[in-house]
Amino acid sequence: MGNTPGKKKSGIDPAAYLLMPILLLLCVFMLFPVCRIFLLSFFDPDFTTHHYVEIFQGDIYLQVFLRTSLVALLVSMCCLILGYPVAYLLSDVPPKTAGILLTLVILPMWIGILVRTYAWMVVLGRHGFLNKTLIYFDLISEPIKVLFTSKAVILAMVQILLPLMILPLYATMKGIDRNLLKASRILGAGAWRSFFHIFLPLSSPGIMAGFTLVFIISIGFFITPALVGGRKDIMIAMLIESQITRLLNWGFAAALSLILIIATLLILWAFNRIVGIDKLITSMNPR
Amino acid sequence: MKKTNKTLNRIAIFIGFFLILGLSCFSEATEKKIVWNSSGGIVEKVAQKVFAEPFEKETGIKVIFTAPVNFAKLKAMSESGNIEWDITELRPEDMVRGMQRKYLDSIDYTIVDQSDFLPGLAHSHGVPAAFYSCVIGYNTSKFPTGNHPKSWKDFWDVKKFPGPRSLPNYPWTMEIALLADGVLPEKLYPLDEKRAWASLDKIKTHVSKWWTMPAEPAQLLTDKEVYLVAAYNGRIAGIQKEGVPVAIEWNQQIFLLAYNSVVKGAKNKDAAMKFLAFMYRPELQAAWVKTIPYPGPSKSMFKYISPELAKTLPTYLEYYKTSVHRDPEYWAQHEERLMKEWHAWMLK
Repeated sequence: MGNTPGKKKSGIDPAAYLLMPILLLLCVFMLFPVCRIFLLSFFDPDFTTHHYVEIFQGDIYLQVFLRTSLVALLVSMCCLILGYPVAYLLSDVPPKTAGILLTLVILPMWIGILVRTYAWMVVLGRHGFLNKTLIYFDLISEPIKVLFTSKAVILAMVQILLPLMILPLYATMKGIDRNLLKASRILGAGAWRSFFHIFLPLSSPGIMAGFTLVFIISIGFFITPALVGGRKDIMIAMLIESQITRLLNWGFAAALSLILIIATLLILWAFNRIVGIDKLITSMNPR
Repeated sequence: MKKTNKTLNRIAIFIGFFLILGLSCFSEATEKKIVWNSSGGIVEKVAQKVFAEPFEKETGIKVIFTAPVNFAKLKAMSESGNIEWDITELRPEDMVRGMQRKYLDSIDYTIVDQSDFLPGLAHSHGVPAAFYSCVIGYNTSKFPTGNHPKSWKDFWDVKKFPGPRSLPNYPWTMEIALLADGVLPEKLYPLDEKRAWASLDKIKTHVSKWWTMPAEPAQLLTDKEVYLVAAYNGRIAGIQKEGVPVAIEWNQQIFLLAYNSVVKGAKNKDAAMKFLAFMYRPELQAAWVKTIPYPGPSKSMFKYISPELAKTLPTYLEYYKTSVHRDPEYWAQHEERLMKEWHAWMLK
């Protein structure tokens, strides 16, 4: 469907009209509210920057922002490391097997986040499955503390978000022409070299897509950290929620949200620079 | 040409859909009814049977339920002038703020009879709807009753009562911290904040979970994740019924309540007052408390229930005598600042 080089385009590609419904939806239900939030954070009711001053002066908000971004980064990284081999396998097996495996990947998504979080509490608790097993095999004598620590937060979030990493990776890998790998091997590259020079760069759009998806969702995570985390596992979404529903400080919540949006865009931009998606954008078109 | 026709058709359907939606809203408004915003779930189901159905039978006024209780929504309604609720349940601090921001109407106590209420609980802008309390819940196999923590001071005593604990992840836990440090209940307000933080520092490492959702402490006791909690009485009673070895210590219960308030600009204000007056009939209050462990303010209700049931209620006279009362005015004024300090303390 790409632009045929040499042929000059006149007007808008008719296919662009297909985007109209979603554009309209996004304008009404996203762009407009985001602009309202932007305004809300600066007017109270006259122009003011005091919400922003408060955020940057008090150290707890910056601390929580930092913590939230770190958790989101860590979760996205773990998902990538765990999800990449799975996606590779999925793209390499016969379609029938891939179908079954894909179903297994998607299956946990049918269970609500709350239920999965509670399941982790059962597994990781003081008298939970993990501790009982370790004690049974005499590996430890006293229960270890995992539940209500940051470890539990990362673990549970990775498990919940992993499918969102695997799916875009799989979609991209499926489109990679395996003959290229064969060609590199024929030309004398070893298995690792052929992977790092051919396969990995070609799969980078999938990495970017999966990473973006997981990162954005985890930066707004709320229930899971509140339930399985310790006292320091405060995520920015929790602060925003309490500002909105308990304290009715909507202007301040709006300022926090806006900073969150900007921070997210910055981090994704930086990641994009590292992975270098713009140079590889051509590989997005599988055929 | 054909294409545009189709588009027009679709637009027509779209507009028609919204017209129907609008008309149905309009026709609903002409009925005789009131809208009561409450907590939903089981509370709504029981309220429907105990209060709403007999009220409709007597007056012909229908009660429509909405949920959940959300102060932010009240703010949005009042500011936009589109008032959907007639009566809403509110936390005391929110009722005070709602009164200050003029979201609420005052209660007409010539219609609502407060002579049967527990003293000092009727408020100009809210009728006490239901009482609950934050109590000490303990594991009875770890601490047999009689040899269990009997006050917040005992709760803080990690030598006499060792084991992990759970406390609320909200700044009002400072009340508990002060009581634990020996502050007398009647001298609690204004809070000695410095002393509260110092007291909290002492228990910090022994609290394995600071809970945010009311169901959490009950779950933590059930899983033996902790042995001692500060939790709402109904939650502990709930797992007790399921056979979990837990019990409640009522001494120094933090006495809490929700108010029913009439929203300013309510479409059916008179009917709303009538309904509030109806709700507080002692026999209906008794019927209510038979399923929901959160009683109303009625004193004479106790005549209609068994002594066993009476002993499970926070308004049972013996428990009520030792209860500690929260000052909603203080929290309405300081909650924002204390919430921030609370998070900072958590991160330390």
